[in-house]
Amino acid sequence: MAENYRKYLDPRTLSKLQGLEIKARLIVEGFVSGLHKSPYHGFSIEFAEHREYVPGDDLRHVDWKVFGRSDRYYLKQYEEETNFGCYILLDTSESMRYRSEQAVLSKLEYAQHIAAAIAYLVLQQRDAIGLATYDNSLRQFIRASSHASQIKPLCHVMEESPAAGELSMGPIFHETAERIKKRGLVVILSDLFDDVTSLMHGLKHLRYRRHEVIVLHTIDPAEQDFPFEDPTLFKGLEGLPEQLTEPRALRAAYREEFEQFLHEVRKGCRDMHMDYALLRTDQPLNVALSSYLAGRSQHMHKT
Amino acid sequence: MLWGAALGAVPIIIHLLNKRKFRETEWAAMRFLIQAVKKKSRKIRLEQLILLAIRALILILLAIALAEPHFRTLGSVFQADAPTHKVIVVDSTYSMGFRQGDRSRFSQAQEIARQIVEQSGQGDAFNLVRIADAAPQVIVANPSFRQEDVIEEISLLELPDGRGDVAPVLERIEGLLESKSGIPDQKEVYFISDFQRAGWIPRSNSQLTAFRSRMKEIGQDAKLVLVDLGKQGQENTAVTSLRTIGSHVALGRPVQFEATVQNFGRIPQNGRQLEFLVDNKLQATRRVNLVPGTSVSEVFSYTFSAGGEHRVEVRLQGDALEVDNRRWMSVPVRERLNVLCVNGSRTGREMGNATDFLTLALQPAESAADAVSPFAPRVIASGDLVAQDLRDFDCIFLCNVALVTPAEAKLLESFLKSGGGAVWCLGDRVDVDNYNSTLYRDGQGILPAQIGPRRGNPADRSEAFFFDPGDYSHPIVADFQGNPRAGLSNTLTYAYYQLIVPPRSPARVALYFDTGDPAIVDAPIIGNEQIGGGRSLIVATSLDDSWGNWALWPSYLPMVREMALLACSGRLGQRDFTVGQPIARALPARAFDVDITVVRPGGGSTPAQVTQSEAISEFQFDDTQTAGIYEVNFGPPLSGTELFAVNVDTAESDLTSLSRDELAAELVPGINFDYQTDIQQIERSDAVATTERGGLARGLLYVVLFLVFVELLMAWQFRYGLWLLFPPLAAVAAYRYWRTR
Repeated sequence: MAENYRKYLDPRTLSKLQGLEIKARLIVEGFVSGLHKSPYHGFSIEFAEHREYVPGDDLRHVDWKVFGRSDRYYLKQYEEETNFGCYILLDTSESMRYRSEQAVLSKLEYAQHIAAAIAYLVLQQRDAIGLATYDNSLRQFIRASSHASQIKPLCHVMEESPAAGELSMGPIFHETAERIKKRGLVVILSDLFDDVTSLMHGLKHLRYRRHEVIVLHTIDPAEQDFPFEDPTLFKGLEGLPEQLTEPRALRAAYREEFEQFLHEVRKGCRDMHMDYALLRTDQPLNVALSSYLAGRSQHMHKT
Repeated sequence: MLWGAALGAVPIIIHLLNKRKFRETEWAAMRFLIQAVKKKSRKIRLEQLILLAIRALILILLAIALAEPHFRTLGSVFQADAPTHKVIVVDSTYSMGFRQGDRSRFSQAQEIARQIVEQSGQGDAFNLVRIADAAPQVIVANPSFRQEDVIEEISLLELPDGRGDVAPVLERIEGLLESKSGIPDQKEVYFISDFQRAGWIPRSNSQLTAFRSRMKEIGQDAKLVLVDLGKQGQENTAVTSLRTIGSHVALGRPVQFEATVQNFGRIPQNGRQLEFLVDNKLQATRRVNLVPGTSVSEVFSYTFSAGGEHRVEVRLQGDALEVDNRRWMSVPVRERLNVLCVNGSRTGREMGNATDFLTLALQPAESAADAVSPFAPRVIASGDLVAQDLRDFDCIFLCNVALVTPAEAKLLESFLKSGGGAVWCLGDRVDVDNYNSTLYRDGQGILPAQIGPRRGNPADRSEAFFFDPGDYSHPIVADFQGNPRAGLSNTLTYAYYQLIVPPRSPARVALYFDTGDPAIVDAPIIGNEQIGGGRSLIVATSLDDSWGNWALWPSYLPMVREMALLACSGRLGQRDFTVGQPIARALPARAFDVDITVVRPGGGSTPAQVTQSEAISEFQFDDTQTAGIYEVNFGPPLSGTELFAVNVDTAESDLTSLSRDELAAELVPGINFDYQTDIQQIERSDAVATTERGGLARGLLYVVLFLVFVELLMAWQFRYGLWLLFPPLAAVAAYRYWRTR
């Protein structure tokens, strides 16, 4: 089991991510409201323990008194900062199985890595994390919990989820929106290969439930670049038909279609004030995460 | 060829570039692919179609290339290699004598014809045809497979001075093109000509239609190649006519010759020298200025001092086309003209016969040796006419003859038709009904006018009629113009017959009475086929003093002599012919056994034949293809020499030629033809033809190779294949455009 953890929680990746924080952008109602300051005014809650400073930590949280005494940098850490709950919606449809020659990981593997990393991060911050896997229906659903051992069932579920079935996101989002009662952060990991309109409807429902939504759009580099040269028989996943083509002749048209799709998704997310990031499976995992999280953090500071 | 083998590596390279095994892959983003395919499918389908067409073309061309030997024997579908039946038509009209530099168009045409033959392949058959009026038009009538024979025939071709009608030649060509066994079915007709507008465009619309349809038939049977040699010079001047002014030539009096010179070109020609020669001696020289498109007439005067045959020539100096710069005329000057006077009324009194005044006027005083009259009259009684051999006489005066029997009329008619002249002088004894029925015959006979009722009374003499010469336009009265004292207009006539000149007849009224009735009517008689006819004149009154005082008047003698000369003019014969027209001459009946030799203009004599028909014996000489004076020597018993002038038909002198577009529009509408303008082009195209010869299969294989290359490239990357396809197509299109220019 330990090896499995390691698989998902690559120390190298996590060493770069540890100091960064995921914060809810919107006002999150605390489970214990008295324990929380207004999210707009900082951070402090009930003190829990000290932790040694590592480069990358916010200097604001350095305990200068301790520094004065011991000449060492310690961070103050707090217990139960919020009752912030995070749900990861992981797409396990058949299309996520795809892996091109350029990529090391399939889209699903890549998404699992990221999901695990986020889960670990969230748990480190004592926040609750939940997971839903789905294709055309909700397959697995793990309620959010901030218990440190939560990571185990999550990883287990993710490992056990086969990539199968067609994707139908709209209804899933509706269902999820209904099932997640508490407002929180919803991280969607998917290639979003579904009808854009119904996808947007589903997202809208989530947003209507006042969830903060982060769309991590996971695609394979080949899907964006279409680098094929030879006549190829493309076998459609998710029940789509086969297609024999001359990829050279089609490349421009395909790219145009794909960029159009990306543009629509991106635009839809922006319109609904959701965060959106395009993750290509050939990008290093940490780069993908940290670039997003850095942007996220920056965004928070601005607000 | 080793370079060609290197091409073999190309498909391999392409093959390596284009590993064409199917790859299979799963694909998640299928919806976008399907979308893209939908959008691109039309373009892809088109590309696939082009690719399919190219592949099919490769197979077809390959099949043709392999089957080519078979086609070769079939000989009809692919032209490059099949044996061809070539009909070479060389324009041999005199305009081809136009000199360009040091050689004439005709020799260029021969050269081109030779090249066509030389550059033909084994198994090609040839006909040689020339456009000329002269026979033979078809030089090589049976398709010859022996090139050297045909080349020899080509070099033996001569250029006559004649014109040529294209239409009958076309008819002959059509005949030659009829398919026969042993003759290749693939036909080509080469026209080597200057394509003169005057020679090629038929004059009437119906002829043009017939011409076109004939040309079309030839164009359907054969490939037409027009070799145009007429592009480089169209300037030409010519002497278009030479004639005497006045009707006849007499000894010892000035004769005026009018020469007409025309500039057929577009550039004014100033100061051109025009020479006038009589009997090969230069008599006068003039400088003429020739305005384009117009003609200039020059009059030369000459007095013949001796009788006999004279040759008159007019020469225009300096021109690229020589033959039409000279014009000849044969002028026979007779020392003595035999006139037969038929006396119809004999009386006992002095000068009482109807012919007495006439003979006196024709031969005034036998004693006066210094004033020799050209006329030798002989008087006979009206009953003796049948007994006479009329061929000894040049003209006949019939004076107051009462009746003309049908036998006599027949005799006279043949006399007139062989060039003799007749003057009918009326009088009190004339039986008008007999004349009208035997001689006039409602305009079919030899009398130029119908005789109407008599007017006036010779016994009364109270009513007199005067002559009215009108505008003096007729030659017999022309000399009286401006000469009132000659007494023509105050001659008194007491009686005459009213002559009725039928409308639309060739008869001309020479002299009128003041009443408006004709006094003298003159009509040419249409002769036998090749011989010019004589003249028939009728005088409405009498030639003696019974019906007026004319016989005593000063106007009588010149008038009678003019009439006699005019009547004799036909007898002198037609001496002017055009090239190609046979020289013909009626001979006295007894001359059936005469040796005749003809001396041609260039020298060299040929014997000629006399043909004998029931009434006329005549001599005819057909070979008049050279312009100039032909000297005909008659052996005994005629023992004489006559000169005949043969001149070119100057309709051919207009060198304006048809342009390519005009040819296409007017002569061969709707028919494809090859068009070339000079030898170099022929050489070039033949060179191309020879490289193609034997190389159809090779050429096709090159194309196949190229197409395979294109196909592979296209299958790999359609655009590249298309790009590769374009430059050769553009090159072919450019070449074709250049060729049509």
